[in-house]
Amino acid sequence: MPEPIRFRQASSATLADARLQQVLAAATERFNHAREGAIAAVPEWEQLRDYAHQVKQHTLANLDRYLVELEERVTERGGKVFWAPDDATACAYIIGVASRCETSLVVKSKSMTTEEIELAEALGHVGIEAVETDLGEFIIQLARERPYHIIAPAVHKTRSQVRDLFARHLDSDAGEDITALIGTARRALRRKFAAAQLGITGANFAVAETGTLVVVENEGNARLSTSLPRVHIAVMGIEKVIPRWEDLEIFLRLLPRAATGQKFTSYVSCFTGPRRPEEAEGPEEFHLVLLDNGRSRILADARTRISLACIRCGACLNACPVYRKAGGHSYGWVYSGPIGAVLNPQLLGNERAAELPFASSLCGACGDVCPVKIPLPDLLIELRARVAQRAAGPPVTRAKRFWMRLWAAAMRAPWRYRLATAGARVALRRRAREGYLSSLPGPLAAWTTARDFPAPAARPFRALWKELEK
Amino acid sequence: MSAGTRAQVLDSIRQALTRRDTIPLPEPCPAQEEASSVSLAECFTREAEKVGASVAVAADPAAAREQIRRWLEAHQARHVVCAPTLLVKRLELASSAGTINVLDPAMSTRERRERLLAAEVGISDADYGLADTGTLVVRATPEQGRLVSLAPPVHIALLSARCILPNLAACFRALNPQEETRRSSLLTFITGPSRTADIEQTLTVGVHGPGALYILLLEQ
Repeated sequence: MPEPIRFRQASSATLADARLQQVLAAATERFNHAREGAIAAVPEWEQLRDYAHQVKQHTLANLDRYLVELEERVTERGGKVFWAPDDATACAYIIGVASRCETSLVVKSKSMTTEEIELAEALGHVGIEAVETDLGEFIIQLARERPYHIIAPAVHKTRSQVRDLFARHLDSDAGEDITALIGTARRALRRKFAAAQLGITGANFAVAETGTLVVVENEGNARLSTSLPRVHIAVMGIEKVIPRWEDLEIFLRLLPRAATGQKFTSYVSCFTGPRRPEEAEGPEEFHLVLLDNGRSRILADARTRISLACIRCGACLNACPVYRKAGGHSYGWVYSGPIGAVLNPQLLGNERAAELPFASSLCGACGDVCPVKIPLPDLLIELRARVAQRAAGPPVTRAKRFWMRLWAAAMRAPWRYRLATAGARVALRRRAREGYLSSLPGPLAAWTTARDFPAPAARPFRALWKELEK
Repeated sequence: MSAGTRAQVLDSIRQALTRRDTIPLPEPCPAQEEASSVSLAECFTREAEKVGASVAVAADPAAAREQIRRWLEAHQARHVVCAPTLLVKRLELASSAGTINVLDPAMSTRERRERLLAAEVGISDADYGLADTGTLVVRATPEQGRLVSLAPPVHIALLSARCILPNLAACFRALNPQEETRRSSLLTFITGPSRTADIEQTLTVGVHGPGALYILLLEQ
């Protein structure tokens, strides 16, 4: 059993790091601003979200049918399909393909799914070098870290850190000029692209009706990974399938805008099978790995199934006040932010990721920005309830029972509620210093361990409203 | 192993779906097109330039050759490759300038790769343009492979002005995906040059693909 994820502990280190705080604030602010600008120009945005939500619901409810259709079309067009129940099986299959290619070098383009199954490490264990070719992924691979953000894996690294990494691993000191650093990476990775016999990508979408895998990117590394090597393997979670090209069109309008605020990314590649015999370039073999790895368990869960609708745009991370402070590594695994707090406990097990559903203020911003309308706050509450139900030790203490009874009594009739709040208002105002309370009494004290509580107003809203109505 | 794992995954999915919800697929949701007096070509040009491409219009083959010559001169390019595509042939690029190297389909894979990886400029056809995003649509064909628009640091794309469509939905309708995906292994959408913001969120072009994208709209 691996160590449980310690969100509180990990996030306190980030909170104490002034530079990281600055980076997080600037990066998420920039993403939010770009996203808002892009969707303001799409009057039908809400319709698109509803459409996408419904397509995902429909596809998930008929997942077996669409996956079989996808498999048939891929096979018909010359590709091979492998169904992987878990990470180990997926990695073993890919290692098998790599061994048949007799290659000791694999180029990879950015894919959260391959991060999830730790594919690069698995290939490394059998002596096959797997090079990440997305610049951000390349940087964190050199630093031996996990992605900090779903779409900006190295967002926490400064140019001088990148310079040090390149100097150490690429034996090249390009200084701290960003263009020069990128030139260094381009040259180093071009050599890898030219030498590799196997290219591995993820997939943003897979269109069942034609067996087409779609990869969305800005750098061109996914294109190179699928143009030069002799074999292409695409690894996708089973939830990525969509029925039709019409649906793809909608998702391609949603994803770039929600992710980076672009109308379209620099490149969108739609792969169907290996190169045709008459085509002069492209892979001779095309493999599709369909990964379950816990997804069918989520599918079986009627209350949380919709978690599988995620298209990995990262918008909920940028919107989340907790992610913006705690940073990506606090979530302890590949997925971070609100979607990480929802997926990690379900994919890793509640025992290991029990803290994560609580890493949220339930403000609702994540649900508001989600381009496929995943009700993230509801899912977080559901997962919290499960953690609470499973928690060991005495479930409810006497004191807790007493306070909850008192609360229930106060809430039972409007006059009781008014009386209770009036009493609380007087008591709390008396304790307040400069409009804030630094500690609350009784069981409420937990709330003030990390923050102050604002003193209640002299007159309640109810009274002001009544006056206004007159 | 393969048949076993297939049954295993499909079984878990089917067990998860014992209680089937009937949620219909929604009706397609077309993009709201702005009522605009601007022509498709003008709209395409504006959007492509916004994302960092340069666009020029050529009234005839002679003007097109002249424009290409100017672009090549600006980059002092000596190694220029293109495939023997429809537009390349129509513009007679092979005979126009000594520097342009037309890839022979009979060339060995190895030689082809080496030429493409060494080239400074690649000239390709684009099958369609999408006006609302300034996007080029490029299909892999027997004549034109994947690398000519990707490997060289400069990409010049040739596009017939009459092949500019309003948006992606129109493109998918024009393509017939069933037929298209049988014939060709790859459909690529190109919008501006290769870019990254992975270091300190600073936008930089030319990270893996071309850092410069020129689009020549052919009126004839």
